[in-house]
Amino acid sequence: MPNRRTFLALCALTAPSLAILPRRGNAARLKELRYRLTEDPESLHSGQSVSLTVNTCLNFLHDRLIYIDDEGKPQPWLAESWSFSEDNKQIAFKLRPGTKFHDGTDLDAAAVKFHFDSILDPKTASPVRGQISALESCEVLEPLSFRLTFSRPFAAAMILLAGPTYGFNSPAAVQKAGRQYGRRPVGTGPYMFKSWSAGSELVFVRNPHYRQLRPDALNKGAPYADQITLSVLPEEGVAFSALQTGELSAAELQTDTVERLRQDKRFAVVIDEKAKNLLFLEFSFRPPFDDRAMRDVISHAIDREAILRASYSSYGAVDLSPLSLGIPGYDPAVASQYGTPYDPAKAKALLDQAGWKPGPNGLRAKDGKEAKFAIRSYANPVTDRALAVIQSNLADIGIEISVSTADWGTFYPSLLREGWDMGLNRWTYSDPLVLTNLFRPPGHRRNLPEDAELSRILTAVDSTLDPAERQKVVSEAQKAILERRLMVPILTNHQVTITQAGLQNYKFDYLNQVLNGDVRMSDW
Amino acid sequence: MSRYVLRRLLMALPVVVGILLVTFMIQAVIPTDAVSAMYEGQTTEEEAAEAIAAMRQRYGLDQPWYVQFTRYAGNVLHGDFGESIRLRRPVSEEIGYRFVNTLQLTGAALLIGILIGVPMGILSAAKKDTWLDVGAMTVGLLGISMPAFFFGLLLILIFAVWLQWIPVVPRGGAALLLPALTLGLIEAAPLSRIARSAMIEILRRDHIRAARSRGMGEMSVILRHALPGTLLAVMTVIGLQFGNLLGGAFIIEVIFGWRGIGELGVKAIQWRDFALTQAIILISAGAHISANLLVDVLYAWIDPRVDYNA
Amino acid sequence: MSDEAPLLQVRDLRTHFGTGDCAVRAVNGVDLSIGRGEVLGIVGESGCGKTVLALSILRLVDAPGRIVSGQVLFDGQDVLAMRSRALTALRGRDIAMIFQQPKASLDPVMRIGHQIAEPLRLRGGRSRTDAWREAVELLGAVGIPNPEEKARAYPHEISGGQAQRVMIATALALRPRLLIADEPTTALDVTVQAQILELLRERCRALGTALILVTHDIGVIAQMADRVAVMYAGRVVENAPVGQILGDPAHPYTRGLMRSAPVMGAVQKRLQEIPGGIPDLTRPLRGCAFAPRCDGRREAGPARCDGQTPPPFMPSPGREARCWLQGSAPAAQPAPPGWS
Repeated sequence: MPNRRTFLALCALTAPSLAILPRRGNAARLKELRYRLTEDPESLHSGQSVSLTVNTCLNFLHDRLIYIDDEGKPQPWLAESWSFSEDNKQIAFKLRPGTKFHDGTDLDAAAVKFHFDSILDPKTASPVRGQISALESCEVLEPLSFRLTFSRPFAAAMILLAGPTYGFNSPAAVQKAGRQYGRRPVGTGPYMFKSWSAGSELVFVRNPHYRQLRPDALNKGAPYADQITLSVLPEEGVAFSALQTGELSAAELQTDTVERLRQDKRFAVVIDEKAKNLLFLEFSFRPPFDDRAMRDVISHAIDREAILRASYSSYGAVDLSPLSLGIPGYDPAVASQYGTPYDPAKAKALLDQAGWKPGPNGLRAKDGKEAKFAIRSYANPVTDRALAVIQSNLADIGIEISVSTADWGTFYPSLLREGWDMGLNRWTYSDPLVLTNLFRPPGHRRNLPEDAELSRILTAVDSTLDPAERQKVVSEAQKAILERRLMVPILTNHQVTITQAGLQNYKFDYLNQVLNGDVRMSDW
Repeated sequence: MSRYVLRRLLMALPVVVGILLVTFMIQAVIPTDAVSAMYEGQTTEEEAAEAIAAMRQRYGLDQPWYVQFTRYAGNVLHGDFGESIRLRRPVSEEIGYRFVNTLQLTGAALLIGILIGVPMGILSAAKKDTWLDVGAMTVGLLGISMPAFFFGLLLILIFAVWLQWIPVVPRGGAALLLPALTLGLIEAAPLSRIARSAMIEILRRDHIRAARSRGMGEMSVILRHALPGTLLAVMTVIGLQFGNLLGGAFIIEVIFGWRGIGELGVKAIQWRDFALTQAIILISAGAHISANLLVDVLYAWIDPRVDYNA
Repeated sequence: MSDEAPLLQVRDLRTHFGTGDCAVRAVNGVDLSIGRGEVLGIVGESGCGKTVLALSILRLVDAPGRIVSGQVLFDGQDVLAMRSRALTALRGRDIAMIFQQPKASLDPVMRIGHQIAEPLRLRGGRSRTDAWREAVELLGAVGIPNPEEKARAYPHEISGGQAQRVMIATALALRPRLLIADEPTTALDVTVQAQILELLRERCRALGTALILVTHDIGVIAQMADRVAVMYAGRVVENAPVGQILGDPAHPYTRGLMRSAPVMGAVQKRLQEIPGGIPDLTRPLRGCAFAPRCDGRREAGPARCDGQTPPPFMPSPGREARCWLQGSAPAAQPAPPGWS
């Protein structure tokens, strides 16, 4: 049998493979921060996508006209000032002078108009268009001043304009690159685009000429890191491993993974308590859920604390209002007065009153029809666990629930059709406009009954610009929705990010974006 | 020989057209399309109605399905696979590099699988019913039963986190190592079992006994007389596996972030992006057909008993 | 019959299939020997164990068969006790074998010339070109026309008869001293049979190779053998020179065999058969295996035939038979057959 020869052959085979292994420890000289993306962004063309991943990337490359402070008020950023017209359908902006794009060209009103035009242009078919549908046009007034015209007073305009997808692209660059621009963006932000290894990695480098115009930022000049690397890591397990080997500076992880790293001194936990989202149950309004009493039953029967524990390991807060905590306009008084805490006894009493009698095995029935209902949701570990709790809560009061989940693209359109009684859903949004988008009759799934009063209130939410007035209207909206029990709010979860212990200033602003120019490692 | 190949290719053509037609029809039945998929959850359909209608018109989605199909088929003949609605670029651009990536991964994995699996199977057959045989086949069984995603994560844990031999997020050439190893080891398992049973069966044959009677050592007998037949059997399996692998070792691709067509296929379906999905299906079908054809041709070339003109 | 030590001596060889009490006793205590250049025929009906015996000599029996006990002495060395290196050296060089299905015994994906050349190269130390040349010569020697061309052919391109010639050429390539032929002509046409047998005889004589010829065909035996061993139910029941077997068979089974062979020229209404069938070999035999079918049983006394296994008696020097009819008491020491 071969011995020496085989051994030598094996050595010869393994030797070249060692050569391809990258040498470790080289990256120390470069001041680099590495983050995780859960998917490859489809394009980095600002104004052409509403995807959260794309927005995260754009946030490195673009500053916007305004930012939102911690009270929810718009503050000047790239814009110096602005004013509303009499009828509140127009906003005139003045830009600060001296802002340049990464390619050296100036940010002026023409560049702004270029951006809004491309959003409005039906040929580009931008999804952002639907978000800001009330916008009609943008005109240049002076070299550094422009005006936005809306078809109606649009209360959410300022909040939207602060979002990363309203950062500006250098018109020169767009014209030069044409269709390829999305792969080579040019903005005005703290970092500049360097390279994109399709599907695996994006690299941004520091913008040495950057000036930070936001007073709430710590670093007023060029960012601390030389380079940012964004790695596309869809698998939670892989991201977790990469954090442990130090290959990621920070990563947003699911909460049960977080628990394992909580005690580890090498890592820090950053919780975004300003998160604006809501997990809620909505109704199909088909019998028996066209009856307000039944909806009340469900509302009292859900143990929100238990769901928060199960789905998010308690990183979040129970919410009794249809608006998320953290959105200005959230009215705690309305929530406690019209919201329903966990009260299974009350739920049972309501069921008895409505004529649903428990059978021999505990399952309730009325007029020969059993209390068996269907809840739909999208497939996700969070919803899976929430549904388990809801199922058991409702079983406790004698209602049997069947559960079905599917991927979002199947679930959401299916709510337009029959076959479901309740849906477990979730929104992420920064403005009370979400109430209008979802619940102004006929509602986002076209199943809400006509209701003139509700429509009036929710339209007012959309179009009341005066902050004080709007506050009132938003409170009314919350009350109206709760009184009618149109839905059952459950909780707001706080995003949890695990960072290396030495990472500093990794914080979230009002719109849940990181001020990337501030972030640094403690030993730099 | 070339006539044989040509004939097989011609026979494959109606298969491809049929697949294309069926996929197209399925997509015509599905209620949503890429355009509405893009807007879901972002805004109400009313607000987006205008934009959605514009997009639909631009991509010809408002036409009846047979019109769309004829247009598509015509384009394909010119090499134009349409534009991905979600990605806003021509499908061929996106598919091009991804297909190469998948080929790399598949090729490397198959190579690893063959280099590990076939010798293991042969050794097991030669030392049948010894500890080596039992051990190897048990490990093989593990390989077949182990889910790919678990195995992949396990290898990352072992090699990147514990041993730290490679980074979790490798760059450059090293990025191929773990995914190819995962897929390769998973492939090695069935290959080793097939090699083993093929070899065991061949070792029973008369000509093996005759070779032994001439005083050929066991290793010589195996390598010279049993191996060619075994490799023929293994080759059939490899051909089938290759087709499957090309169709998308998508689980491995997703875990390791390997940008291949399998991973793209999963996304394309979620996005309801017809042009992408269609192109990927076409490629998968083409891959299967090519792999099978290749195996047949190799057979005809290697095994003197096979007649090309049959 | 010569006075030298025998080339091959088989002593009490037992080969079983399976284990335990219901193991099939395919070879159930066989004694044999063959001298240099001799032709020994082993004849018996299907299932008597003759093929297993032939395979056992070279230890070619596959699992679940195994050689349980006995000795196979070749030139004084026990083949059954050899280590594998010695065994592989023995095979091909000292003892070779050809099989019943000639085409199946050839490697289907290797050219014929290479198959013959292989032992020459690997064992005989010839170079590639020399081995090929010699292979072509050997092909010619076994009567294949156009040997250069035919050497490049594949086994599926030649006939059964030609394949057997190739087998013979391959087996004799290293000039072994003993050739075992297991039913070499059974799968061939009758017309080809005679040619192959003639070829065998001629080649063995030319090389001085002894030949063990296993067959169920008495005609073959008659043509080829010097001595004949008749097997029944895993035992040799009679062992004698061919003339005596044919003319004056001592054992009732042999007699039955001779009677049942069709006679040329005679018109028989019905072939003579031996009534009954072979015994169940999974059961240990008590007494004579043939007794249930033997017409001489009554004479010798059923108690003895059924109760005790007959040892080999010697009805005359140089022959022996296991039959109670041959003697009332066993010989004091049954001498090995064939030797004085």
